[in-house]
Amino acid sequence: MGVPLVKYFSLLRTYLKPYKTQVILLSITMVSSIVISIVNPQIIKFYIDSVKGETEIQTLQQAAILYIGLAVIQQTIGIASVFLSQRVSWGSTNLLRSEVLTHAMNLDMTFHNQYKPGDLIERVDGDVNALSNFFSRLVLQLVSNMLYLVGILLAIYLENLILGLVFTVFSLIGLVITYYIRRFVVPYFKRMREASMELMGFLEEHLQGTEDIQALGMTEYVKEKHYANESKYYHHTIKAIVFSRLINLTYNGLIAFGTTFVYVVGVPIHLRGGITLGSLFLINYYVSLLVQPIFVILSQIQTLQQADASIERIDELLNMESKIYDNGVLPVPDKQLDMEFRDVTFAYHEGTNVLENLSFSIPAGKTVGLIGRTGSGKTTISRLIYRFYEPLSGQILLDGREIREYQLRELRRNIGVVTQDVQIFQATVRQNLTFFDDSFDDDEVLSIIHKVGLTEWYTEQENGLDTRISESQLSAGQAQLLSVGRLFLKNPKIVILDEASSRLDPVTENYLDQAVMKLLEGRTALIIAHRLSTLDKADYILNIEFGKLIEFGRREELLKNPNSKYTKLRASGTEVVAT
Amino acid sequence: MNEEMDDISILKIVWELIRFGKGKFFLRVIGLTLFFLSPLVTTYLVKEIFDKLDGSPNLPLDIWTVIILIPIIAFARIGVNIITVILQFMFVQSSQVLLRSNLLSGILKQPGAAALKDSSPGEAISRFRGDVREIAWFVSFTAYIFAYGIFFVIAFGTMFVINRTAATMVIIPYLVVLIVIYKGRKKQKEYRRLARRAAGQVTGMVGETFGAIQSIKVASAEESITTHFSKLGEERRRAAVKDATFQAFLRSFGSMMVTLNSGILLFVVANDMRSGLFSVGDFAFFIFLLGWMQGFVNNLGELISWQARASVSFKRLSKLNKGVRSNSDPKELLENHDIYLDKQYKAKPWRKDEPEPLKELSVNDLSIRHKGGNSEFWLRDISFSLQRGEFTVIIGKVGSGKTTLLRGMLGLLPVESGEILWNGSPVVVPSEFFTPPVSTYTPQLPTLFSTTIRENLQMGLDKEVEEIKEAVKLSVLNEDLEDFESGLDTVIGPKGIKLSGGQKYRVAAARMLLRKSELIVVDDLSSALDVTTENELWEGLFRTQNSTFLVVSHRPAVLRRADKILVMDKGKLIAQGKLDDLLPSNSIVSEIMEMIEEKRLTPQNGK
Repeated sequence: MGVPLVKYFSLLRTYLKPYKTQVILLSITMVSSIVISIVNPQIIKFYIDSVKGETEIQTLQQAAILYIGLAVIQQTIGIASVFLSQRVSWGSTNLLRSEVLTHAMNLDMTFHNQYKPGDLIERVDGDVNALSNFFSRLVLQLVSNMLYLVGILLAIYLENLILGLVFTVFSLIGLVITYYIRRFVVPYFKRMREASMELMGFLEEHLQGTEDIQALGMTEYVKEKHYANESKYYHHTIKAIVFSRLINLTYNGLIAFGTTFVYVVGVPIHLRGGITLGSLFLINYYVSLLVQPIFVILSQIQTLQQADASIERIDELLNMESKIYDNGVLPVPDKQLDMEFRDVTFAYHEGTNVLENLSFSIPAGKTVGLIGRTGSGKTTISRLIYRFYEPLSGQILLDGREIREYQLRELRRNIGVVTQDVQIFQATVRQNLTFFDDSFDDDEVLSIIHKVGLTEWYTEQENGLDTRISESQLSAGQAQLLSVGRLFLKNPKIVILDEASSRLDPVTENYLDQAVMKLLEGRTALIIAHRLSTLDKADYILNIEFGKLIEFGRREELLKNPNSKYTKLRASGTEVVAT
Repeated sequence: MNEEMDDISILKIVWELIRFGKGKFFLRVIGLTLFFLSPLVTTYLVKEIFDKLDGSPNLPLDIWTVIILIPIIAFARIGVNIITVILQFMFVQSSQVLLRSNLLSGILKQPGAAALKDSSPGEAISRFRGDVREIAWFVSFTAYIFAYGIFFVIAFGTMFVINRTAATMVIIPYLVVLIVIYKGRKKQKEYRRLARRAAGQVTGMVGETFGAIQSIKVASAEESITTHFSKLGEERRRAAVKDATFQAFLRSFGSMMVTLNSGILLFVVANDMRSGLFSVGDFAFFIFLLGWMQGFVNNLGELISWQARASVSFKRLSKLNKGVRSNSDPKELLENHDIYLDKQYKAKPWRKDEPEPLKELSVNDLSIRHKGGNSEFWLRDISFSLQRGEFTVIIGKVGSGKTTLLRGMLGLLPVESGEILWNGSPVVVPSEFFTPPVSTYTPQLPTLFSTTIRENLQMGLDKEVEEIKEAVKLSVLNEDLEDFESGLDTVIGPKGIKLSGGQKYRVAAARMLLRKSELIVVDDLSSALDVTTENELWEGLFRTQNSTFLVVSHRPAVLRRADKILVMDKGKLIAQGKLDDLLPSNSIVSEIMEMIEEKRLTPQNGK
């Protein structure tokens, strides 16, 4: 119960606001449905009490028709209220879901390195779904069932004061007992769910490794562990079920006691002439209705407690701030840009500098090839340029201004990166190329496809640009070419190639090189090299080791100098190994 | 595909599972029958109260006795209910264990690299979870329906005795309910499916977004992603609203019919009540029983549509169980056996034979058909042989069939034709034969499991600490282990997510080496390891392992060292021999070598 009531109300206000009319309609339908379900049994009472009297048969039959009519209306209203509450709850949680997604996307990389996509699915979808219960059921059902409970009790009071009193006390005791029993049972179910998750998690993991399992003779071992998981799940389930019966016991016990009370208390009153036979029937009927709202109210309170945890987690996420401040106002000038690192020092963890006082500059429109051993800080350099992280000290300048002075979005919009990890979305060819931006026309997209050499692949796609593709349908090379295509569409002023081709076989790599060369024309570029030959087109060579610059200069000049590291590297034919 | 074999009647499924849990099942039927008879008795007692108050008693009992009997019966009923529900879960859970363990055995019998080819692991899990549950609950449901049916017949019979016209009039609407519920459930299923798909698209998009967060940030595509996400959300909302509303309609329809029936009753019995033929007690009896009878009709409708669902579920399980195997019987899934709930399953010894030391391994005319998506790939008539102690390297372009060849030979893919001879005698079931200590293997993308490194290495194998240390050292894993807080006991997360690509591969290599074998088979190392580490690994292997090697690699150093190179191209073995013999004559080899040379990949000087 850590979340204060104020928080609930502010949540409701914010996300239900756009659905005001529907919420009002919904309240009306719910109240009228309650009223009908309390009024309708009164017709039966009237019927029983009048059937032996003087009332005309016709009147009785009219009463029967009224009874049916009201029942039909009530059910129709019930359906309408489900429709409305679903619309409202999905609408409001969709708003929240988009907000959480956008917020999380904008958090810095320190955050994203911490959370796996699976965790974030839990936040953006799982927790928000728990809140959907909060919006649709909790508030509506909790309130309406309370009204229902009070309505039924009032109706009993109207029949007979004593019986009304008896059942008020009965309901209160029922609420208290049920509340405690439910709380007692919850942990058993939690353990059951955990055991089930463990069982399924084990299966999912090992079903992916059938190749390894079979070839290494581990099949029987997998079975052994599977049976152990099954046994655990089985015993936890049975335990949870045994205890959950307590809830059922309470439910049915309450109904049984309630019915008994109706007659124990009601029969003497009837015999004294206090209530009619019809009243007795009516009260029995009401009492059988009474137990349901008691249970719904309590189960909703429990849902509220679960929603609490979700609200807290979402709140926590929404309160996180990106450590990359977006205070810049400058637009990026529309021309070729030069870039400079000035005494840049950076560390992921305090104490271990990845870059130390690094300085170099790239003239506008030129290409720099970056070489260095594994862990020398090559990829870090590129991450600092598009501001995934901030330098500890020193400056990075673009066209003479610090990159922090530019709008973050503007800055990133003008930088294009190709890495060896290409993400393909389960979406259309077009969406994959444009990153879901609808503003490109077909011709533009098609010309890019031809430019990067995907023409042959494209002609195999059934629905052209609207063909849905997924990661598994593309080879590593095709995915890489697609990612180069993305850059052509983006048309950035600065290009960073981070070992784009390291996973490809030599033949496919050649295709990619050709596409990339077209991309580099007229842009300022940084190439992080996997193989020295990739750098043959570079104007400058930058060699770093342990985050420090050991050589920087024009490639041609370095080649002329027999003592330069670059010349020596080439001569030795050493492959430059990269992270 | 033998359709008849795949078909197994729903009755057979129900029968086999009841046979498996017969004690629980039949005890439950008895309990349920008592359970359903109790409201009949209670309602009859209520009727008696009203009749007594109205001055026309039927039973020779004091009214207070009758009133007291009501809670007594209620508690007896609750007691019976507790027992039946526990029996129900024992039955359902143990049936599920049986189905799941049979399915797992079936999948593990399939050629390892071809298992689950047509479905993602996520889908397979939904079979293990959803379809297994569907079948087990369906079978358990038949007990419920049976007992409920007995109640329905007795209740209707009693009503019929009390008043024929009234009983007949109220039974008719139930037929309508039955039809509507049956038809409605089908439609409901469709709505449910659409809603699930829409929901899947939303979660899929969230997962993909955060999986690709770097690219999205760099592409500054946040806005267009949000727009697309909202669009998917709106689609999901529409589907979910439709699904929920229709479900509400079906539910209301049932309750509406109960009220309608009560209304009809009010209409029909007015005259009889006035004349005293139909008492207030009778009226109460009818009204309260109508709700209970409605429940049976709902459930009967459910049984009919559930029966179809359970059949479909079983078909899906059979398909998953069969996979690419040619010799599987759907009855495998229903095979009754111990399910080890209260004792430990002891892993059976994996190999039945004591393998001969390798002298010669020959592969003759091996053909493998490999289906990937909608395309088909053939490996045709591959023949080669390995002598003891030889080092053989397979090369070829991407897609030439290198991995397929390794897998086919090891029994990890189904083989169309050809034979494999171990010292001259044919290997009958390669997938069982090519396991340690005959052969050991590391695939191109090895799979690790979310336990500790030690557990990943052992996987049930009882090995001395020294042996583990040795394997770790050979796999160049020592330094990495020093960096980990808990060394070998470091938990590596799902799929080994906490390890780098290279570390994963080296753990897999250690796992392979821990299983000392005659033949060591290694698929391409170079994508995960840098040259220095790879060389160190090979050095260690040559020095210490008295084995025969079959590996895929493109490293020149490895090629030069090879006793024999097998050159694959477009699914054929186009040449074999030593590198120097192959180079001048073979265009594919020279093309590959040129590519490598051009990139200045000459790591004999490499570090």
